[in-house]
Amino acid sequence: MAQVIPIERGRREPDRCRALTVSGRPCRNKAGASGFCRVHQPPVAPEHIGPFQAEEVRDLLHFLSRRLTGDYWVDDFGFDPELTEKVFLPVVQAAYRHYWRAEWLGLGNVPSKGPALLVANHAGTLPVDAVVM
Amino acid sequence: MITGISRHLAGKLAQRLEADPEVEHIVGVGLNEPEMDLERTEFVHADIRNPLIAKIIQTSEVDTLVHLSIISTPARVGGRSAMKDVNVIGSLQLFAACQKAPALRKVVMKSSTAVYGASPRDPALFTEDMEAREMPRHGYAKDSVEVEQYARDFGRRRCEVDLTILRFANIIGSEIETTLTRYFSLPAVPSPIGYDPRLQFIHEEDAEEVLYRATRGDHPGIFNVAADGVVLLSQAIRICGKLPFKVPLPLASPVASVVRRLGLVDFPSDQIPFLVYGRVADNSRLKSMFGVTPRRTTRQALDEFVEGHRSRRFVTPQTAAEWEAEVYDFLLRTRRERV
Repeated sequence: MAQVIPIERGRREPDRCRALTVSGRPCRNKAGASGFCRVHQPPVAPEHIGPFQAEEVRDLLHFLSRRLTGDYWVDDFGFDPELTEKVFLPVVQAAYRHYWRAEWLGLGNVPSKGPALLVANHAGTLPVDAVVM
Repeated sequence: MITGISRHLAGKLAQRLEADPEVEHIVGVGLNEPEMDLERTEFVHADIRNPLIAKIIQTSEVDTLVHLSIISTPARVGGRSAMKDVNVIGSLQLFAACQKAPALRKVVMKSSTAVYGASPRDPALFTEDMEAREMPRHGYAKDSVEVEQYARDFGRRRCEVDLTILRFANIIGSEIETTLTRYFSLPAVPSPIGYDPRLQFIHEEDAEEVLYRATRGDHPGIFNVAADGVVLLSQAIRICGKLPFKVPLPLASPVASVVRRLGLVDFPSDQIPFLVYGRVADNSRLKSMFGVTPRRTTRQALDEFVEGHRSRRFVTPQTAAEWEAEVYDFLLRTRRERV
């Protein structure tokens, strides 16, 4: 009786290493528990893409694709918390720290709970102090 | 008695009422045959602009009138003046006829949140007691304001009749066809540059439910019938998987008329402010006093519309997820080669 061996299985036997050799052929070494031999290490998902964390890159791509399909939430007043947090705030915060180098005096006078009115005494056309506050 | 029976919402309401054994007799008045299959409803081919309508109301001893024949687009009846005729003169005649109907106990009228207009000075949420900041001067919104006025006048003259005015947000869903659904079915959706209005919808089934409850129960008063939550116009276009076609505001009216000429969407120019400034109504009175909470939010209603309408989408969530995976894989591969 002839035994039918599927081509795929013939090439990649279950107890053999799953990696390809330098010449492009399947490795014939015995595989360990990971499915790879001692010469070939299982591929590790890289932690960095260029100077960035791979996880961050994936999050960014996911963010972009959700923005593209409109999959985000806005409150009744049209405020988009996600866009504010991820796009506007980092820019503003960088300017806040490095350009304006804002300092606070008497912050204890502002109540942490309940309503408060912060009034800016600003001169100039662009009310950038509102952004700082 | 239901007016405007040939239209989608009226047909749905008639079907619901037919299933209710306590409803003895249903009369549907309209100029066209109903689009739904109705079994028990007696269809009367009549024009509410004709004073004969009084005779129909009297002879069939109507105790509840549901006035739904207020149209928002001029194309179906042939021109703006005909539309105004149907809306304003029709309602005028209808309420005059109601005046002489002793058996009448309840009037339910479909109005629209369009009565609040749309302007840059609008409040974030319109409650039922508010008026438009800028009175609508033409089109559907003005008709709605006038018709509501007639209804309220009638309510004052016949105090014993319960008058319910339902101000519906834009109705959307998988079945209904409105100006807005056709607008969102365009391959490239025209939207104003520099403005991103908040839009609010109500799902067709929720609208039907509210109409049915108003017809069967006693809920006199004015109610905003709108779903929870809002979507931004740009967001709505993305959810529909369409491309935005940005139009500068001065060109909005010409673009609307081109779209109208091409027969794509019958979008009246007087609705442009709605797409520039948007409009959101407060539905808390509907929830607390009427006792109905719309089951779908604005977002869910829009999602169902997208599911139901198989118009071409440029970007679907699936393709977006594929792109995302592809770009990520590409970045990983370039990284591995460099190692």
